[in-house]
Amino acid sequence: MKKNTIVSFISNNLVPLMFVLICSVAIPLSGFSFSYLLAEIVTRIARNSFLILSLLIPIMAGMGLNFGMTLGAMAGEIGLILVSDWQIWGIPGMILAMIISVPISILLGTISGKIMNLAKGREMITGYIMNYFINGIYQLIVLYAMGVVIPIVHSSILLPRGYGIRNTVSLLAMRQSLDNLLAIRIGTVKIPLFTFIVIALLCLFILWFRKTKLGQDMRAVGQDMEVARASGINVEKTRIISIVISTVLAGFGMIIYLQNMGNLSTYTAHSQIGMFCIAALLVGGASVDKATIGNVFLGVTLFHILFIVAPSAGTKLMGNSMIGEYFRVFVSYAVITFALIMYETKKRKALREVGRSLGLSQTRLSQSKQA
Amino acid sequence: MKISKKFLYRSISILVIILLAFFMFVIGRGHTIYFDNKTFESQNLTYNSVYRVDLMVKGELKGQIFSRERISDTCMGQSFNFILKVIESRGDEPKEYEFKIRIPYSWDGVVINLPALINGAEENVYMSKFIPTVVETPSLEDDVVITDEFMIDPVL
Repeated sequence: MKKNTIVSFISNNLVPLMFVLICSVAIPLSGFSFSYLLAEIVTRIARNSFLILSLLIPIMAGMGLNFGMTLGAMAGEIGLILVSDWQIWGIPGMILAMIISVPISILLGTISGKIMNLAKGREMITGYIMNYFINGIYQLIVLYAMGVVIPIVHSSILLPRGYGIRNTVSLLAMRQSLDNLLAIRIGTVKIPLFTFIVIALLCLFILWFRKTKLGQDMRAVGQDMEVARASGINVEKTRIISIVISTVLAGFGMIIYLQNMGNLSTYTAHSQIGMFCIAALLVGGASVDKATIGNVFLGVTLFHILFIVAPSAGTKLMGNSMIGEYFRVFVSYAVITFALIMYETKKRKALREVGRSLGLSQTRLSQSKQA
Repeated sequence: MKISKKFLYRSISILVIILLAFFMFVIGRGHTIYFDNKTFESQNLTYNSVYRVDLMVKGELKGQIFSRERISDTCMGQSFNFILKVIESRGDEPKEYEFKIRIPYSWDGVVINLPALINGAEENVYMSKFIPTVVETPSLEDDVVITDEFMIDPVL
């Protein structure tokens, strides 16, 4: 019995356990002190958690690990570009960028939700490809419309040709403005208290939201769409709402993320972030149909430990930091693949079990009829 | 015509958000302020530079501006309070002046001539818009837009 419990625990948490194992080998190899690692992890949890939390609501609605959040990230970036040009600094700049991002996120979220409703069960790949399509429109706007149709005044963000935005937009005027608000320092570790308060509020919102009528509807849709439809839930509308909430939150998350970084990679930041957030969530033990707040924090911690220690461990082990970096990239993508394969295997196994038990009950029924 | 409660709440929410955005637009406007301690001529009057000026903002010493020098500081919003400790000539006792100036919203950079300000000149005399004189040379690197999303940024 005890052995079975251990085996089921290991099989249910194989991905986080693998990461714990890899980290426990890589940390001593890297030679980093505990305080340094802690300081880095705290910074990165504050930077990334909001973004990853934005993925939870669509998962609750059964839309899986879709890349709809990338669209929200694009909306957040557009807000930041405009705010940078208008020279709105600090926290007011962040709030204004968030306000600007909301209607764009709602529009993109609605489009995304409608497309995903046409491709039920294949949301992940649909979302991933849809990002390329929306990314093209984003590039058209940022590269050609900004400076021509959308007025951009400052040459510091405008390409020398007079229109289009530079590869990198400096956000120095709002760099860590949220993180420095109420920041406390314990030894060498800086704790961005206000950012953590914002993250905690989002966690509370998610917990509260699960208990609301809409949250319950989303859970019902996530469990079985046909049963939910039969019980009077507008499945399509509920799914669209979940994606819209996710994109809006992702827009906010991207702004929080970029204020910490202090600069914006105009054309690549959003596409990298989608893959990164999904990988971090999977590392935390989430699956395509189930993710919790705990998975977010465990995932971001484990994933980032590997981010920090891999290059240094690679240098110590092989004399080349790039080996560690390649290893980290390989592991990151391998984890996504592995987690998806495991999910599919478990789903098929469960279906087989259902089929087997159905077959057994039918056999018993026919035997009792014959008797 | 009957207005539904839902419509009313939504309208009020949108209005509140627009007002909040407008408020942020006003209070978050950033300006760079350049303080000049340089001899300045205007309307047939000459304002001579002083030996040294200490600039204090929110109780913090931002810098010491000697004759013919310039320093810069940043401010958010259209109102800027600062204290100047002025030493007219070497060995003089510092005199303290407190100022509150209003910065035009559309100006990114503002140049304040300290001798004119200290001697009570008009706002349009001591304050002028900063116009950058350095023209940025376009670099080829900026023209190349990188859109490779398969690249993973190690600082993520």
